[in-house]
Amino acid sequence: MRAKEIAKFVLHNTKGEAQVNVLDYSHYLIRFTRNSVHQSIQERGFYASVKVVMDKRVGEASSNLVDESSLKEMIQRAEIIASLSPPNLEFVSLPKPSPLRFSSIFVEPPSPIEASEIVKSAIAVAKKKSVELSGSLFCRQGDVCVLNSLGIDSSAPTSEYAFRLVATKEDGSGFASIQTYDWRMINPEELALEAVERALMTINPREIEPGEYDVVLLPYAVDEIMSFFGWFGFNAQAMQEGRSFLEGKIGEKIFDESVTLIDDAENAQLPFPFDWEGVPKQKVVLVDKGIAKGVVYDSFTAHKEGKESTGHSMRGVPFPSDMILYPGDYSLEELIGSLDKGILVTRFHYTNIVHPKLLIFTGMTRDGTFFVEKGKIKYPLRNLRFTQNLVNAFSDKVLIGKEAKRGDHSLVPPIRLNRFNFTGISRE
Amino acid sequence: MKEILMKAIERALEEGASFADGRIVRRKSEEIYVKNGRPERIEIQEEVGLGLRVIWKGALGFASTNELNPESARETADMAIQMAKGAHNAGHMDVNLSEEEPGKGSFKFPYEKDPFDIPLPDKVDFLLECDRLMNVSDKIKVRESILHSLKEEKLFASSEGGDIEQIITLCGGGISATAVEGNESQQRSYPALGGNYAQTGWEFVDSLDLPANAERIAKEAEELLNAPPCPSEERALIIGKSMLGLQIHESCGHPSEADRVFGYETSFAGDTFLTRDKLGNFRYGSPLVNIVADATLEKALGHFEYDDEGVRAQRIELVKEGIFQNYLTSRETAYKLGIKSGGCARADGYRNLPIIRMTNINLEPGDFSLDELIQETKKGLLIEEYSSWSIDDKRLNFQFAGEIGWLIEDGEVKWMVKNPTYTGITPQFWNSLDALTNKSTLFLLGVPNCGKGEPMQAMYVGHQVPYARFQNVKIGVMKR
Repeated sequence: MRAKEIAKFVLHNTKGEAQVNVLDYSHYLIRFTRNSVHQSIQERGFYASVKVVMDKRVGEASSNLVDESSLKEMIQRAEIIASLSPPNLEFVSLPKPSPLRFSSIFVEPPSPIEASEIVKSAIAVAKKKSVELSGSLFCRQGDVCVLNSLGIDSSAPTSEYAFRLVATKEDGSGFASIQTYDWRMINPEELALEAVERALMTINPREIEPGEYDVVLLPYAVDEIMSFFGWFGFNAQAMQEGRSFLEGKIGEKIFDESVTLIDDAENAQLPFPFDWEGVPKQKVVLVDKGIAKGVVYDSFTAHKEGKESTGHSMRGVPFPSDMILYPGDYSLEELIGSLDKGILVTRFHYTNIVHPKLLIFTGMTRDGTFFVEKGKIKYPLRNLRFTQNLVNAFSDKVLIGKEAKRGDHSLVPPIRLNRFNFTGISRE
Repeated sequence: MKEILMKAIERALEEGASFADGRIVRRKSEEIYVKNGRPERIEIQEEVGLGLRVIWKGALGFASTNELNPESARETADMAIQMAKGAHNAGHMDVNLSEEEPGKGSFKFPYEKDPFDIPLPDKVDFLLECDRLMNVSDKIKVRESILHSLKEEKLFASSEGGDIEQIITLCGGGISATAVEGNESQQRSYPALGGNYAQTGWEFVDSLDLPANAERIAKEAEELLNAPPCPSEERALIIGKSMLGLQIHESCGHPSEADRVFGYETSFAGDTFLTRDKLGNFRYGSPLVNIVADATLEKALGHFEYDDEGVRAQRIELVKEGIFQNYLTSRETAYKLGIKSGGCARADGYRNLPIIRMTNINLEPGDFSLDELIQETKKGLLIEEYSSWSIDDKRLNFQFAGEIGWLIEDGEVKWMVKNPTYTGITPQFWNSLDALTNKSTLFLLGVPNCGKGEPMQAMYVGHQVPYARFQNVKIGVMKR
C-alpha cells in the first residue's frame, strides 16, 4: 500500500510527537440530466498531512505532492508553525494505540464503461415510461493510513458508491438513491423505477394550507435529521461548550421510548474501522429507549473529561457519522395507514439550523410529497417549507418502520412523527 | 509547467478529441483559528495539479491528477478520453462551445501587503487579542477568531490557442462570540458569520479592525439571551451588509445560473424558476431593482481577467429596472442560448471541472441615506448579519435569519430582538422593494465558500450591496 509507505516516511522524518494522515485515491463521477450524460469526470489524487506537537505547541501542514522533498517541506512547515505557535494548554496528548475492532470492506470499482452501463440501464427505464431521469453515479475508492508517534498504525482500503436519481415529468418529480460499499449491489432498473413511479405520482400537485400535520418521513428525510442530531447534539464538543440540546440531560428521557439510537460503524453498512486520528471506532449508545445515554468523543474532548476517545474524530470535531436508528415493527404501508390526515415526505431540501440549542431546523420537502387521508395517499402536494423543533418532534410519540436504508449519515428506517410544523409553501 | 499542460492537450487531440483545454493550478492556503483562548488549528495547505477537459465525439470528459510530469499528462489525457467514451456509451449530451477569442496574457492582481509575509506569531497574537476582548462574561461559552489567506497561480491553455496565467491573492477573517444560558444560545459575528474576505492583501484585514468590534459583539450576544423574540407578523424589512448579500446570492445569483436552466443541477442543488421564456420580459423585481454580475470589480472575490474557460471577465446586467435580462453563462450554455459566453465558468482548484459560478453579484444603490430610510419607516425590522438560510429547489420559497434584529417604530430604531427570521417568495419579495440607500453605504461581502456541483466545489464570490427596504414581509417564522 503506497499510502502506508508514504505515511511511514513522513513519520520517520518528523521530530517529537506527530500524527500523519495519508489518502491515496481515485474517484469518478458520471452526472446526467434529462436522460443524457453531461459530466463524466475522473480524479486521481493524493493527500498527506502532518500534525506536529512540541511542548503543547501544535502545527499542521498538508500537501498533495508525493515526492520525498515535497513531503519533507511539508514536515518543515508544520514544525515551523508549531515552533512559532503559543502552547495549547488544554492539549494532553495524541491518542494511544488500541486494536481495530473490524475491517473495512473494499470492492474494486467498475471500469468507466461498466459504470456507464449502470447509468444507461437506469435511463432506459425512464425512457420506457416517457420520464426524464437526472442523477449521478459516484465511485470513490482509496487507501487510508493514519500513523502517530505513540504507536497508532491504522490503515485500510475503502470503497463507496452512490447512485442518486431524480425523475421528472411535467411538474412531477421523484427521488431514489442508494449508498453502498459494493457497486454490484446497485440495481439500476429497480432504483430508476422507484424514482420514476414517484415522479408519475406527483404530477399536478395541489396546495395545502401550511400548519401542523402528522408526517411519515422516508429514510431519505430521516437521514438528514440524523445529521442535525450529530452536529448539534450527540458530540462531546457541543456538550462541553454548552451548545448541545443534550446539555445536562444525559440519563434523562429526551425522546419517545420507541427511539433507540446508536453509532456503530461496523454495522451501519459502510464499514470503516478508524477515525481521523486512527482510533478504532467504538459502538456508542446515544439514546436507549428514549433516554439520553452518551455522546461521541475525539481524543481532545475525551482527555478534557479524563476519558478515552470513542473513535469519532472528524478532523478536529467529534461527529457520529454512522448512526443507526433501531427499526420498529411497522411496514411503510402501516405507517402511512396510521395517518388520519397527514403528509408523506420523501426527502428534504436545503435544510439549515435556525436555533442550535433548541434544535429548530428549517428546509423544504422535495421530489415526492403527498397528502394522506384515512391511511391512503390522496394526492401529491406542492413542496412545503417546515420550521420544526426536532426535540419536540421526537419526544412526542414516534412510530418506527422496519426497513432501514443507508444514507449519507446513518442507517435509518421510515418514521412517523406527530404535529410537524409546516410554515410555507413553494409557489411562483 | 506549460510544457506538461500542452503535452496533455496534444495527447488528447492525438486520441481523437476535437477540443481540449486544461489548467495547472498551484494553491497555497493558510488558516489560523483561535478558539476560547487557544490556537485550535494553524495549518498551511499546498496543492498543485492538472485538470484537463476534452470533447470526444461530442461527449465531454474530464480528468485530473496531482502528478505533474509528461507521463502523468499523457495518462490524464487518456483518462479524460476514457471518461468521454463512458459518457458516449451511456448516451451523452452533445457538447458545443460558443465561439470565443482565445484569451492570452499574464496577470497578477495587486495588493499592498502580501498576507503570507505577515509573521505567523503576529497573526496568532492578533487573534488571541480579539479572543481576550470577547471574553466579557461567563455566559460567552464559545469565542472564535479566524484568519484565512490564499494564493492561487493558474495556468490555462487550450487547443484553440488560449494561453493565460493569473495569480490571485485573497485574505480576510472574522470573529464570533456565542453566549449560552439554559436553553438559549445566541451568536454574534463580525464582520459577517465566518468572516469577510477580499481579493487583496493584508491591508484588508487591517481595515476590518476586528479588535475594535470584539467586545461589542460579545456584549450583544449576551444581551440577546434575554432580548424579546422577533414578533410574528408582517412588517417593512430593511436589510443590508451580509444579510442582503446572502439574499442576492441565494435568490438572484443562483437562479441566474444557466446550467440550472438546462437541468445540470436537477438532481442535486435544483433548477431555477427563471426559465428561458422569462428572459428579457419577466418582472423579477420592482423598477428600483438593478442587479449586475461584475467580474471586473476590483478587490471583490469574483474578480478575474479570464474565467477558467479562458473567456474575458465581463459586467453583465442580470436585472435591469426590475426585468430579468441575462443568465450567468459558460461557453457550453452560451452556445445553447445562441450568445457569447458571459465568462462565468470557474473551477475549484485543479481537480474540478469548470462550472457556472457567480462572479460578483451586486445590487445597484439608490438615493437614501440609511438614516433617511429608517426615518421613513413606520413599522419595520432591520437586519444586517445573517445566521441561517434555506431556499427551495427552484429558488422561490426562502427563509433566512439574522443574528440580531432591530425593531423600527415611527422612524426610530427602538430595541433589539433575537432570532429575527423572515420568509418570502423570490419575485414577490423583490417586487416589494421600495427604497435603496446611496453608494456611500455600499458594503462588499466576500463569500469564500459558495458550494455547488458534484463533487461539491467551493468558490469565492462577491456581493456589493447598499441597504434595501422591502414592504409587507412575513417575519418571525420560528416557533419554539
